[in-house]
Amino acid sequence: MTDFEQALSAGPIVMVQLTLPATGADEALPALADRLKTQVDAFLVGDNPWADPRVSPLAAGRLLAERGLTTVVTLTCRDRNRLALASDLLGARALGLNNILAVTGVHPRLGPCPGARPVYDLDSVQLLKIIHDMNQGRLPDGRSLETPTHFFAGAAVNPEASPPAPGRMKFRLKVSAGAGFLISQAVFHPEKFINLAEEAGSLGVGLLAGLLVFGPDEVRAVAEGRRPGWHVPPEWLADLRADPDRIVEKSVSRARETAAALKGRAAGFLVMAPGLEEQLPGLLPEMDLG
Amino acid sequence: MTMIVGQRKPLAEIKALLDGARRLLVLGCGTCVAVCMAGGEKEAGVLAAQLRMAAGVEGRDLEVDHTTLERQCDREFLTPLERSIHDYDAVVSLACGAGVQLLAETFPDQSILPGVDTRFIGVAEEPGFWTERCRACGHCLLGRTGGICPVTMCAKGLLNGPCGGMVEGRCEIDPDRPCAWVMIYDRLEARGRLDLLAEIRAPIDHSDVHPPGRLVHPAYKRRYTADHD
Repeated sequence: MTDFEQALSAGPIVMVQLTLPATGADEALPALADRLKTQVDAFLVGDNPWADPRVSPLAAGRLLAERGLTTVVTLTCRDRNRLALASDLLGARALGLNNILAVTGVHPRLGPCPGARPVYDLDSVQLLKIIHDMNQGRLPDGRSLETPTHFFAGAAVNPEASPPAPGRMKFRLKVSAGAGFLISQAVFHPEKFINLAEEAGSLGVGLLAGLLVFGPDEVRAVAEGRRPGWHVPPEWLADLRADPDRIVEKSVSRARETAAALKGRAAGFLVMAPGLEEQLPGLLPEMDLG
Repeated sequence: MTMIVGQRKPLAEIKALLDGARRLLVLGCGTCVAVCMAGGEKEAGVLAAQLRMAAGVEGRDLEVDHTTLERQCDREFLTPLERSIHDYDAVVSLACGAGVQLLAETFPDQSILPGVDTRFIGVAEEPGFWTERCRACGHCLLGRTGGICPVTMCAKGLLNGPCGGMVEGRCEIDPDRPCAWVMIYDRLEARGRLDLLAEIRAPIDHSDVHPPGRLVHPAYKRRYTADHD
């Protein structure tokens, strides 16, 4: 059992996504993690979120894990073929990174390198299946591994997706492919999350709720259609845009309300505060996630 | 009509390829690119006129002829050019990339220049509007996806359902495009065949479809060879 699996089984957890800008200093990530570690049960490292190149998730994950922090590493299908994914999975094991969030990955066209060739040799279901097979001691090509891997793999789901049915179908495939945990995209309607969490529970898999804290840059990105997985209700967006000086304060307050409605229903919370990570030590207590 | 869809290159780009040619042949192709109005007889005439006018305005000496072949992707139709093609310094082919290459292969000492960007295999939606339908992946899945190709119609080519970026049934990269997986789901649901989506679809095996593709039709090859013995 991995450290993250143990944390999840011990009860609702607080997790934060730490993916710092590519332009920042290398030492910023471990320094921030140290500041957060008393408030947080686990860290999620993104893999070039929004198709924006950042420190490799294996490198960032290792920087956190070597400080004894529970770390989940995201792997997307966007930038690597099945050969490179298998290689990175073996690399993750070698670095002691055994918690993997397997996702499709946002299309490069939405990021700063729109001319990049998208890979998507596998989709997220097929990546989960490969991880499952490696845990059984088989490489994607069928050869045996001398020592099977011991990954705890999870998947992303979006309770806000409309229409919901096609994504629900894929969610079941993800669980049958071996997803041991699920993390939701940002939640705006608690009732939609609860509906999905009930089905996840019936399949024996915990679902963490995504909570979003906005800064002005992210509000602009949503308004410009560059954040397709975030189904921010138009009235929320209008409210945030109407008062630029209070965007962070208002979104923290919204996140606190959402979290309150989900306590006892979610396996924990994943806080995403892109661009505001340095403020997280002050913001987390205001969200009252415990 | 299903076809190869192409798009005429901008005039400036074609002019930049000419490299000082003084006698030029614009060669149209009468099949796919004629239907999509990128490189047929009419477009060959238009390009020839544009090039002549541009040269006139710039005071350059340029003779431009134009003609159109039935198909540039079949050697049989290229043979008649043997008599005249060397009268020109260069040929601008308005065929798809396959036609341009076969022309260059047939006349390797001649300068063959592309006048069209080949875009995709597609269908005509309405006059002047074509959409892609096939990536020629070599492993047709349409029998299990309600006749909608996820390899082509999903921007990511996903095989097991929509990505998390789908917005109100539209694609994450373009709100004008429907999400392929929502279409597939809806069609199979209407037919009572959602069972087709209940199993995990394995990754595509690329081992036998890497480019350049080759295809032999044994019976056709046998018959053709017999007829010509």
